Amino acid sequence: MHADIELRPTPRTRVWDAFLNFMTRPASPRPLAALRIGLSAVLLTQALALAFNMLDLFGPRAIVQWRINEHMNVDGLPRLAWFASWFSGFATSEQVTQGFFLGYVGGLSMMLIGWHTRMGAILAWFTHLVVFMTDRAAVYGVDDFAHIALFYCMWMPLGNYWSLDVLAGRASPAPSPEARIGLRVWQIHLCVVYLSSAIEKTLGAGSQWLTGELMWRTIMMPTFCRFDLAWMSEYPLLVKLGTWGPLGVEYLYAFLIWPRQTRSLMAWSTIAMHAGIAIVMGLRLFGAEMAVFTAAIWLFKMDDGSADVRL
Amino acid sequence: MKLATKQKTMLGFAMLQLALVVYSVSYLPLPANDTWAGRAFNWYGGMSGGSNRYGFFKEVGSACKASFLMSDEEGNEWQDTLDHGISHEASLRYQGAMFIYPDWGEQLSLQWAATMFGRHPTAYQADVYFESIDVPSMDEYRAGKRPEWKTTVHDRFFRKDLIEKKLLESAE
Repeated sequence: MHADIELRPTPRTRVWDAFLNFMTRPASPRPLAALRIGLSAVLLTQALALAFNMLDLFGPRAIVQWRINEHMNVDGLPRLAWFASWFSGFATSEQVTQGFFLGYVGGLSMMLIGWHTRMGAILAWFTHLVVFMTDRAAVYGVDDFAHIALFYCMWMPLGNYWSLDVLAGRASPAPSPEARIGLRVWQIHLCVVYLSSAIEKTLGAGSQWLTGELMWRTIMMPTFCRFDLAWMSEYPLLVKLGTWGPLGVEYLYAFLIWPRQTRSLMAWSTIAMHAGIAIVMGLRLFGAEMAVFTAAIWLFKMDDGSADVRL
Repeated sequence: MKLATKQKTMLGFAMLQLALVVYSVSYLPLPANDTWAGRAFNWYGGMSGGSNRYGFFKEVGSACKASFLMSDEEGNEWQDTLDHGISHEASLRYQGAMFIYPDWGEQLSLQWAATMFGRHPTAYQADVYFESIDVPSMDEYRAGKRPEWKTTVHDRFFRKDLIEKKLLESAE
């Protein structure tokens, strides 16, 4: 007589299965395609805005010359000076700089239309690294996030939806574990970005964010402020609320973006915050880039409601 | 759930990358840069952006700018700035570059004066003014104090070829 043996999963197996389900359950590549199109559109706009000053910013005799930047770079990161030296026999340093910039624009264009998307992403990431990231004196947040995004674009299935690769049959728009992994990495990374940013802002005695002083200093700083908002000195509470609002959004992002009930509110609050920063401080491309990240990753459905986290 | 080798590799890579991202913002000790681990950490962090911290706009300090007073041999004077006539996006980067001036002041003054001589071929002399501005508090502002640019560094440069020409002329 045989007793029926029921194989019950151990708690350890259940945790592992839940983890795999969270990270690899097939998802639509649609949000990643939205991110690809939005990101490359923002970065192409930026490239257009910089094109006529490209040598003044990144060339051998730029506003901060290569030899000074050399001291600020991480050892071993490829930089323009290396390529200028290698190609010195048949191209000037200026031509090498222009060549890399053109390569960057080419890579972004391939990403935008989804034509050999992965190759385009590799080209865009490498040229961005060489041109922008080794010019530390002239980069700001938009470049740091572009670099992170382009690094992810190289290995995530970004060309599997709304792309020429799909039309040509080179990529499948079917849901896949790779798309889910890519999305989860983005989602978790964005949560880390906002939460750690909020914590850093409130650390330390006399934090301008806690005293509410930060918005005042920002609107009065001629390098940032686009409008005359000095009248706000008469309304200190308004200034404080203007400082604490974005801080609250950053703190809440990691917690309220996951549940379905609060996701849209949180995502749109974040987009509104970046729009406000873009308008008040003139950081338009940075605002657009961050808004693209949140909109693409959280507001586009992964598949028939499967974006929802089941806790 | 069965995963293909490629998917397992991607998942493993994703978890390592996220671990790096979380570790980098945690303020836990990083390996020293003179060790192979430190160099590898910094190199991979630089290549991937995974070792970034995100304390953007943690605080707003003072702003700074560079301006130039150019003079020609006839005694005419005119002003210029580095970011004259450039796009807004390029201007943001110029402003960012100003913040390294305290570390590289003399070299940057020299370089920027050379840029100005290139832009103004008739100029004989370039005075470089590095200015900074601090913002009064709201209370101070209500009491009448206003933000004001203050010159913190002033360097003067002369065009070398014109000096040589003048010396030759005086010798003749």
